[in-house]
Amino acid sequence: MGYLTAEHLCYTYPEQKRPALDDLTFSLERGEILLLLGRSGSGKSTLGKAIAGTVPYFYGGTVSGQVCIGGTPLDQMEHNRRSQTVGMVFQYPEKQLILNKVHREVAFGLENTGVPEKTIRRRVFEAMQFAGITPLAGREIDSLSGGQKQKVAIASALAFFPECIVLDEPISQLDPLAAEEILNLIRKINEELGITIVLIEQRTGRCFEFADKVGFMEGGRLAFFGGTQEFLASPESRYEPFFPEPARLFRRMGIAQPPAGMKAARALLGTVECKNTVSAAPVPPQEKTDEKPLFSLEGVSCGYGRQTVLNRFTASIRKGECISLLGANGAGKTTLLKTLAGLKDYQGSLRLKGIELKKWKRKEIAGTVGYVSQNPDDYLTQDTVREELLFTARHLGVEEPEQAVDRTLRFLELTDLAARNPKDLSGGQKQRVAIGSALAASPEVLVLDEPTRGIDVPLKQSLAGLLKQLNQSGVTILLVTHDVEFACVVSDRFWILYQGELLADGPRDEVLSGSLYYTTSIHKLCQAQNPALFTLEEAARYYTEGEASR
Amino acid sequence: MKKSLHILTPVFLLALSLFFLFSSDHPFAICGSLLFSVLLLAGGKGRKKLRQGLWFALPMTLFILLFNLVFVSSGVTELAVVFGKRVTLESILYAVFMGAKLLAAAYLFFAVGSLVDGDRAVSYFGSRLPKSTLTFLLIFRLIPRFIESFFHLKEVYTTRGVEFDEAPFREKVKSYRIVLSVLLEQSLESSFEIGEAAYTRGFLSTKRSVYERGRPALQDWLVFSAALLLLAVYILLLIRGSISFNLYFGDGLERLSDPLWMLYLVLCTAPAVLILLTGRKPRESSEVLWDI
Repeated sequence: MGYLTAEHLCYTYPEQKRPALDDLTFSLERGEILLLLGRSGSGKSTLGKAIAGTVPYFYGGTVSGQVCIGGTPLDQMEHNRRSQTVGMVFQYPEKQLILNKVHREVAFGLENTGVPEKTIRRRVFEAMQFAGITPLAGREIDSLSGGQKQKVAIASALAFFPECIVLDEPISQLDPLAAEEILNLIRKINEELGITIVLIEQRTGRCFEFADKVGFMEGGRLAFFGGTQEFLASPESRYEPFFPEPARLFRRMGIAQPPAGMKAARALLGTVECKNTVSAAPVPPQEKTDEKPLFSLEGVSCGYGRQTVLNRFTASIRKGECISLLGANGAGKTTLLKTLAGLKDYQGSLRLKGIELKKWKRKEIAGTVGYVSQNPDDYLTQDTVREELLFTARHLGVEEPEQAVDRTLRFLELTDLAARNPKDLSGGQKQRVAIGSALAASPEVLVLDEPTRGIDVPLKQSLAGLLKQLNQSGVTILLVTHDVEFACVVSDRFWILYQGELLADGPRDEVLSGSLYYTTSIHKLCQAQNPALFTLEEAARYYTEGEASR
Repeated sequence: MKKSLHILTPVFLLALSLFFLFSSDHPFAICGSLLFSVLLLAGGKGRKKLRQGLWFALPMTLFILLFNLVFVSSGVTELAVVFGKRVTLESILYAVFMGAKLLAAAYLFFAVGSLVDGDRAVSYFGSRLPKSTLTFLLIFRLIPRFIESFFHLKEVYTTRGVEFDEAPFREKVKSYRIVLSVLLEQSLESSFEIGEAAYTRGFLSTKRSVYERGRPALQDWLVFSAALLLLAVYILLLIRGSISFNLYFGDGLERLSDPLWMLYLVLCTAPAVLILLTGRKPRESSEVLWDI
């Protein structure tokens, strides 16, 4: 019998008819890492919460079957012991940290469970040291970056010296560097302390390298549970979007058993003899230098209070471009988007269509630059999807708003959902409604702040298609993202921001080729053979349409 | 060397000062609380708070003044008759006293807030009053997020063409209603998430222990003694009937000259002076350790 087991586990949230977990049975050995995959709403987080005990003991609802940890059914475990046995780290670091100071936050759980004062001090110190945050001990949590906050959350779970830790999308909010650090920490916790890990993640790239088991959730059921290699070798095509990109490439190349790790993948690719004649690079973007810039920024500085975030920023954006803004959290990406959308005061010169932005009226800017924030829920106030879009169109004084909204609904394939309440839609559909709200006034520029945040791989692919289509229809797009793979599919120009300054600007061959973090896993894998490869499609074309042979 | 105050000392001072402030309308009682709080704020790093308090109290004072002018005609000293209504000096003075009372209350919270470390308060009261502490914890965590989300949503709705600044008053109300409806929903979700995070970390699972149990030190006893002395003088004033004061009927004006009031005012400054000389915002030994 395994260490962490579920037997015919079923769970239904209060006032819901459809079960969120439907007859789950699995067994995980002590010290293993389980990677839980699946589409949004498939029940991954609910299963994580069932292991941590918040389902059903915090949420209520009806449950049948059982989860056992170390042979003890969770329902026979006191809340106090359960908290000490299973720790949980949530997706949003800022929503799980309760106190102000780092060391007190780490101690909070230990105080709750009645650990003696002397023991608390020792455990706080050790947990912080293990997580590498001892220098942050006296810092205010609000002053930390996203990655540092997530480390504090992990240290807080670790301070219990638990037997199992459940991590629910711990890197989804983080930039590539911070995400890498968190994944390394998770691996270290598992390898050095033998703690069983349940990792729920959408950015699966590196997770496959160290996961022992993979669980694939679908409609509340566990469609797959088994070893990582077994999962990667599965013939089921519906699992493929959740594979890491190198593994997907090998599958396209007809290799039935793709390796999980990058090193093994590189070695395998080295055995492929490539006599390719197909051009890997996509059609180069059309030269857009003949036109006057749509936006021109010269020495633009702005910030919050006395803190300068954008520092003498100089750049220009031409009509029809699609630019991805990359950079660490706090580099000034969101501030730049807000400044372009006319939401922030600035010093320097910022011209939209040759006219200083300060001279534009707010509504004129809003009608020209559509802004989509990180959270689609910010846009949902009306009773139907159609009214939601009409809200923007009417407030921005669009002529014939009904027709404009119908056009937008058709373009976004939302016509069938027009009469639905937007709050009842799925994550991807909400994202479309939010984009629709910005598009209802037919803006010339669309700026999007982390549009892939929290959405699953298939939804991401559909969003990429939508943005490309929009861009081809003439809409200039600027998007902030940590997802370099997504950026590479959508954009033709890349900016890397660092401390409010433009560190790199150009097409991907220039910007992403020489980057350690801001490049795609496909490029990291294939650069020795062809440095022009960045996306899965390009690599697949390169290796399969040419004369590559093993 | 300045040392930290025990968590109970500022809490006791706040409770006592609020009792003095709200148990009487006497101008000297109000002055005493103002003196204590202004001294603490001015002596510490709370000068910005002094301005913030004025911004809060001035409109409230004006509102009370207008209310009194319209609805109250009591008082002995008639200044004018407007539309057949008496405007009295007492009704104006009453508004000023009430404004000062509100200002003193705001300053007291600011001043004592600057002495209390929120984390230590959670740690201390969490082991004694866990459910109330969780409620306050949710409120304190939500307020800054609420403000942040409010400004963020205002930006989002500005880009959707909603007017917040240049619209007529009725339109503004409608605009803010939209933002507040989203905000309310998001705040409820946030409070649920904070509650869930606390639950997974064993909150309310057993009797809490305390991470760094502070013990009252000499400066706590000094401040505590000064506060007790102040309470004794207040009780004496109460016994002598000097506390009762009714501006409209001139009741208590003759006892304004009670010399005990002078002693009371001097003693009001004593805890503040002692805190400024001996105490400071808590800083635990562990923080010093981590800093190294």
